Amino acid sequence: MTAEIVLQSVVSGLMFGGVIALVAVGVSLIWGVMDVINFAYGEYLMWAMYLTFFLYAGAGLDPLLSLPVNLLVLFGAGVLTYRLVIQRVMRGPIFAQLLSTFGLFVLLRYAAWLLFRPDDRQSQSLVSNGVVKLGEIRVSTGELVAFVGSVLATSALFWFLTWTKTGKALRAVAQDREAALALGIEPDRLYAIAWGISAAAAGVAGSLVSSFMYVNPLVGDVFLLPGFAAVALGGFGNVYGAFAGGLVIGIVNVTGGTLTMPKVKLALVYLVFVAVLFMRPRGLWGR
Amino acid sequence: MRGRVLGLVLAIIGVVALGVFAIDAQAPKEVVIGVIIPLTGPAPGTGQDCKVGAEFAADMINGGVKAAAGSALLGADWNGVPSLGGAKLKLVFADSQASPEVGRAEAERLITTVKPSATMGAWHSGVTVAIAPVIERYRIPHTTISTATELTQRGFQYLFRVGVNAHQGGEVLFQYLEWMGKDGKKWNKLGQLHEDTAAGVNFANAIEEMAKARGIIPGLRVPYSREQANMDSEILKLKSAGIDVLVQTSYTSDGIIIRKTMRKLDYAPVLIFSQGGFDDDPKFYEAMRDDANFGSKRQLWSPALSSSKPILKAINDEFKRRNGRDMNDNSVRYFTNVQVIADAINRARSADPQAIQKAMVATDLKAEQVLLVHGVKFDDKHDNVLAKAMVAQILDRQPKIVFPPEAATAKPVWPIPAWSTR
Repeated sequence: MTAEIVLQSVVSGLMFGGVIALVAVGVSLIWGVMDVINFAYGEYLMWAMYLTFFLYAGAGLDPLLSLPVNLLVLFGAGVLTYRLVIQRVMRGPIFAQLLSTFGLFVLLRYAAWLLFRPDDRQSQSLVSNGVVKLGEIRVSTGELVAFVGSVLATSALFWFLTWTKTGKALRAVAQDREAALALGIEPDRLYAIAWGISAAAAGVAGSLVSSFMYVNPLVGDVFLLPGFAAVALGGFGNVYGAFAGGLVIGIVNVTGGTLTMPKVKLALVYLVFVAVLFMRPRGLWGR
Repeated sequence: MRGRVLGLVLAIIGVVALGVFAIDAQAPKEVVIGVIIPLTGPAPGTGQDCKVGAEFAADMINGGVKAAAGSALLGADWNGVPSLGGAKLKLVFADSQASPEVGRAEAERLITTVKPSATMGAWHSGVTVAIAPVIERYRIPHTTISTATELTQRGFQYLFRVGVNAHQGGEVLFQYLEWMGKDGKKWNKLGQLHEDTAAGVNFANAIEEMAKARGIIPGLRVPYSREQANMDSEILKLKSAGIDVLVQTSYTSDGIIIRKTMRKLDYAPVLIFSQGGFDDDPKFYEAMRDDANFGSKRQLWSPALSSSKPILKAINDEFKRRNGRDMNDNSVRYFTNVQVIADAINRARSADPQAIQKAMVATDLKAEQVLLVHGVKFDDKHDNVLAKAMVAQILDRQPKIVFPPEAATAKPVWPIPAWSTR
């Protein structure tokens, strides 16, 4: 095992971690603002990948060019989810909230199964097959673009949360809902926006990964489970921590698998997840 | 009085006898065969190839393929099953979706609703392993081309393997390596990369066993689960271990990700040998284009073999006319599955599953009677003792036979060219 191989595995892990980070940010946003775990998040990503595929197959649109479409459509889907489902269970017990997102997960997955069949579908992008060399280190253009796209999307979200009035209001509601209400901030509208932004993040991720990953009704699991591990690692409710957690999980996945055995790479991810929960239940940067 | 009673008794006997003969003379108009294959899921292209191959064979047996007429192919001159008064074969398809659970449920549904006389399937070894107990329970004779060794190690009486098993398929790799060695081609370490269901695990076990029997120390073995976005650690591990003869078992989507990752990480072993799967699916070639080249695979058929078996060209041409593409390993194997079942039905002179099973045990088809390169004869475990494979290398995005030399249509390219030169 040479140093070059190890370094390659770290870079590959970072590339993969970028997408996991974007998934984790989307999950963490909802948890941070509303204390709700969205089990259906992976299915939003899956539907975004299908939208990307059908735009590619039907209109010849490169997956990267379908990003704005995915962003808008999934934002709308997120707002709709909140208005039709989540808003109604918010007043109920936490178990009802968990079950509602689980129910959504089942509905979205098996609707896709029924409509699209379980066939693997692959989009092709201009960046699907290229390789970029950074010295002796190599990354595929698809993964590099996905990583850069994830960083840009997350940066845009950070900017929104930090510098815009709505973003600051979202953070205020996340910190203390009652205090925010007292200051005239209406949580309900902000919750809908949060769901929209969270789903839009899944839409962006769906476009980015479609250049190198096939879609089928089960593909959400590939990203969501490591995404949850990243959220737990980075800290529930901390989108910055979730992003960092995603990068770490990506490196643990690829480098850990290379140094030990690839078959156990997911087990390593969950080992890290369990270890963090055991030692620091709020995560490394959790509130 | 006595005369009237006697007359009545004779009349009753006569009516019953007529009824019995009428029942005996009423042969079925059609014989239903169930086919369980992955029509949707990760390998729909594969499933479609199996379907058209089976349908082509059924049409031939039902008298609809004139291109076969006069040849030695079993069923070529038939017009339905001869011993059943020309009963037509009717294929009923069920979609396994490449899932053991769905395959098992579909097998049960097919058997209990359609009541086939025989079945075949399911291509994916993992699915065939799942449906084997179902067909055994219902006592339906079943033919398969799945390679998992365990299928014929569990004492199933109703399952018959028509194609190669894992050992027969792997044997040709070692023969090829020995042959290439005589030509001065060198290699250092044999390793494996395989998906972790029955097909991959069984083949990898067989390769390890056969390697050790030849004094070859098997190197790194890297199993993986499908449904992954990133296979970098698998390829880095193989590259780091210096594996230069790579035995691979993958299905289409993972095969595509693996090949792309090999290019990305500049991993080009001298030989990649696959037992078939991803490199039988047209979708692999569509996605990979020229990057599909230079891998080698276990191959069971080639239209180029028509020089020794002229009917192959006529049959392939007719198939191509109907389906727009050449036959391949999948369509040929399912064509042969139908032939084996039809032969057993004909010899059994019955559509009864138990009678067909007894006849199938005594199957003895010569190579010229089927499209495969070998004949069909079952041992006591129901493996095909005549099954054997060739080696094909993907050149110009097509499998070309490179071994054995008497069947070769191309010279092998060894080693696989470096990615930087492609």
